Amino acid sequence: MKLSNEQISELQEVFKEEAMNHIKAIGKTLVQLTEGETDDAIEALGLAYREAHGLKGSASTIGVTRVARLGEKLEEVLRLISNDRLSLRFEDIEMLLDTLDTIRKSLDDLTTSMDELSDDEKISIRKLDDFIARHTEAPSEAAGIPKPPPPEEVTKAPKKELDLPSDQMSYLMSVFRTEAGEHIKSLAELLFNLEEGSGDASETLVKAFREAHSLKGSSGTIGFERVATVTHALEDVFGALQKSPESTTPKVIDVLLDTIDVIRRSIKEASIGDASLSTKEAATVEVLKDLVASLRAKESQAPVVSSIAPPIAPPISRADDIKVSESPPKDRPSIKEVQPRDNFIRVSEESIANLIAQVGELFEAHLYLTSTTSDLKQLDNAVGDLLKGVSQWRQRLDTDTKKDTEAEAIHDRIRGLRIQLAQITKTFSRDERQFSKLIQNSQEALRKIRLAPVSTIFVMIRRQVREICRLTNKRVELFLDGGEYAVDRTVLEAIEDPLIHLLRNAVDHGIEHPEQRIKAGKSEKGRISVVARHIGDAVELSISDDGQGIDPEKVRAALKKKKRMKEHEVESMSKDELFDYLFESGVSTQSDVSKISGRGVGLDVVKYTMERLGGEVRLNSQMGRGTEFNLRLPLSMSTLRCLLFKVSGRIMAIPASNIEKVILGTDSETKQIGGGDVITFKGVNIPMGSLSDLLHLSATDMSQKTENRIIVIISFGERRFSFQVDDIIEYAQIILRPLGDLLERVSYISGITLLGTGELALVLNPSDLVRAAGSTYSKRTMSLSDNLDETSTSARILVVDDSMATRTLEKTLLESAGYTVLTASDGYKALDVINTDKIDLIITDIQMPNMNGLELTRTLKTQYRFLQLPVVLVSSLGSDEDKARGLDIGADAYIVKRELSQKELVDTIEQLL
Amino acid sequence: MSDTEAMNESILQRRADILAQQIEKLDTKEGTTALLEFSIMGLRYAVPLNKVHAVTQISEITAIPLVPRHIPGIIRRRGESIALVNLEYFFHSNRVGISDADYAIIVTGASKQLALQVENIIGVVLIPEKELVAPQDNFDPAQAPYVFAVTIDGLIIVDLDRLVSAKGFTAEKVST
Repeated sequence: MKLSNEQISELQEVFKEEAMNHIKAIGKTLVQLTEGETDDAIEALGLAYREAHGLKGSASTIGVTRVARLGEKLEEVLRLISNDRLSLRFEDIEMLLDTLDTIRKSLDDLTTSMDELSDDEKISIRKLDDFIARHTEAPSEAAGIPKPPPPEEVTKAPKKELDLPSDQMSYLMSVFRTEAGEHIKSLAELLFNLEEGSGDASETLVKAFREAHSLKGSSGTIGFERVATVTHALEDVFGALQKSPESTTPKVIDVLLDTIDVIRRSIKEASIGDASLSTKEAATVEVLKDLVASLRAKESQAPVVSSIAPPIAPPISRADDIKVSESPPKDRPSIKEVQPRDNFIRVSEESIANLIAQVGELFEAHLYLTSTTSDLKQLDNAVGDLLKGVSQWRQRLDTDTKKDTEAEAIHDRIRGLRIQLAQITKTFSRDERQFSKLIQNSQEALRKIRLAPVSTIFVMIRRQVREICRLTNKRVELFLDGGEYAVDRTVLEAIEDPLIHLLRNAVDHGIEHPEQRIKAGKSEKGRISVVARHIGDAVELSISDDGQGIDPEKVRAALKKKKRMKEHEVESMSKDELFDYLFESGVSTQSDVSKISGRGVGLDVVKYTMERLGGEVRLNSQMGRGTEFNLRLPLSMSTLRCLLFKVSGRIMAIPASNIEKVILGTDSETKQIGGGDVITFKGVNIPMGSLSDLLHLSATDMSQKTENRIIVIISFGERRFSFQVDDIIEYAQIILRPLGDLLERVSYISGITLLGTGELALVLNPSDLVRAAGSTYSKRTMSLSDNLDETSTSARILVVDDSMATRTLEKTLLESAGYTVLTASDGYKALDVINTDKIDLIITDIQMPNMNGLELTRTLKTQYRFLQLPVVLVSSLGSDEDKARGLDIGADAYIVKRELSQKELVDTIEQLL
Repeated sequence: MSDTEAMNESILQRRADILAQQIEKLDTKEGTTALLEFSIMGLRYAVPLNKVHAVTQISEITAIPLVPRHIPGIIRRRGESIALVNLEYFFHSNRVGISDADYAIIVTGASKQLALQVENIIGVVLIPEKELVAPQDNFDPAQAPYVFAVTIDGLIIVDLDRLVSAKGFTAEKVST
């Protein structure tokens, strides 16, 4: 069959996309290897090998021989590395990354010959051949992949008694039993998954290990010794199985399921402090110990080379274990008919965008229905009033029977109409609610389709930092976290360029050269962190460095040089106001334009992109300490929750996430400072401006009586601004629409939205508004810290533990010692709390899902604003190595759970606060 | 399908075929340029047809604060907002104010979408390329930068790319 040009071009596009995915995956593995993340190296190399294999295969199929040849050589090299456990030099990884770049270039130009190699391609193939020749002749070397840490030793410390009243004890036990039941349920599900061979066996075993570990930890903390002992033995089995997943035979699974039954019974029967095992429990522990011993013996008998799992672990389950009905009922298609080739289908971005736009239109159409519901209710009220009027009129009539009969007929007719109207209103209202629900579901489903994990951009970040370090001869340790948070794909794609600008600035201008760092008392290597965290209805991406920070005086000098404003105005600007100007085109603190950055356009692009996306960017910097940019990314591009209000007769909206408070005039005091208005709210002076003035609208009547004033206080980062409005309408979900191509940069306005009444409302830009406040009212702005009354007497402590029982126990102990306690179940949730609440100290477990305590500590200790926040690790991991590891990453104290007592906890806290 | 339905469908299909052929002819006829002609304050203007997306009657304009004076506001079309441009500002500088022109031609200039506010849509015209001449010295110098060509009979062809690229044409944030 001869393909048309159009078909060929379409095929090439599909191939390109596939090939790029292969390249990205291989690149990611290589970058991981460079950074010493070797824990998963064998598995990752196996995956990279398969990616190269896939690349070669698809290139051959499509007939792009040039790429197929490169893919083949790359596959061979990765196979050698993975199978022969080769040591890789930095130059080798460089060579492989260069090969990927060459393939990428080849993909960009598929129009030239499919067969004839370009010069770059020839060079890459020669280098790959050299590598293969070198390593097929030389004896294999060990890759130096570190062994996983030895299994944790049981700490035999004596159990501390919990000195709690009986009602609290009974509450704790009930919490523990509920939680233990959930662990047991998860363990059973995971074992069934292993038996069925569904999912990745190694990953499932890690999850099972974690579940057993958590159950052991919480039972030990509460004092359920029998449960803790059996679970500890179970945990050891999972630990041993992780090293040889292929040993998870159906027989082993039987033993493990039996163990779970034993634990389930122990949870029901056992009591606190009871350490004597039942016969069944003791027997189970012995069986589990034997199993661990046999697994370890098997492991030690294996030759060294084979001790590392092959890239692709063999499936545990046997095909004959899966039962498929051979003759499905006639009214149902056979399994073969409905079984898709795989679980994914390709849908173009455009199709999804169209679908989103159409659902957006439906949402707006629905707003009309909401408005009609409201109209119908008003009509119903009006008819009710009419009915009352007719009743009163009847009473005033003479006792003329004929007139009264007529009046009664009119009355009854209106009453009948009202009943009908009420019925229609009710039906309409119900339908409108159902319609609304359906639209919401559709929007949510579409939103999820567009979600992608933040880690999608991590490879790009690693690559960029590595490249800039190479160009600048700087050494940087890169810390990435929060990759699993999901954000709209469009948002992730749109922030790639801004991120590149920020990373370039961080390495080029932020991080000092090694000798300067040593002189400044810093480590030789700089540190750049890119951390994502979930905050409210957004994901915040923080890009921070521990470099030299931005000198506000240099910004001041740059502004003076630009001569955009009067010199005395520039002189009086605060640090925050000066930093705001860094987001303007052409303002840079760098006198020279380097190859990497300093062109003075980067931050302008960052701000513009964030505003276009409905997000925001904030900057914190401290001389000598470093710089942090916070990009607030909307989770969804579909709807935005806003406060709707009226100013000068126009309806406006402002994102609800920026609303600090809406207050009536009576709750606040307005006064004049430095010739302008400020509002004093809770002891804080906040500049007050007029939206009418800022937007050049006809003025709002500012002379209203104090008690009638409605004032909206908004915040953006640490800064606040307030303005008077004529009326508050409501909080509503809106669709933020851009103003069109010509109006992408209108001051104070982010876009518009269509209201149910058919009117268009302006959506205001909080960043611009607080900035206007900063420049116009700077002299009257007082920093929050200068104003706040320190009324809080008790320290606020955040307890982070995935075990509800432990959380509750620690909370109870701390509250009884007079502290205010907040809780979170993992590191990510803890970050949410820390970012939104004032916390004085953190107590965290180590082993937790999503983000463990060590990662949480590391995240906090890499951001200078949290450097002073004390972190206490409380864990069941009790070895000296564990303690050293925790303290090395910056924890301020380490307490072993089995040794936990209220006194020790409180003493530690007092020392740290 | 009934006979009547089949007949209707056949008529519609023929009509569609004819229309498709006409567009093809219009676009491919050698040596000519297809333009959309319109009028503002009685004077005739045109824009290249390949830059035109749609023509619509303006039902509502939403004013946006702090935008350039030649943009009276935005109009909405299929859920999209498009900035409306009052051409009188550029071609009749003695008359700046609110235009009562109530048609909008949605076009692309310098890769941006905009709507031109015009009084009347005259129609599509095919102009032989040899009849297009650059604005002469006696042409109004204020208008000349935005004019691509003028026909022998005085039809002014607007250079959309240059118009949109002109300094101050798009909104810029005011310096605070």
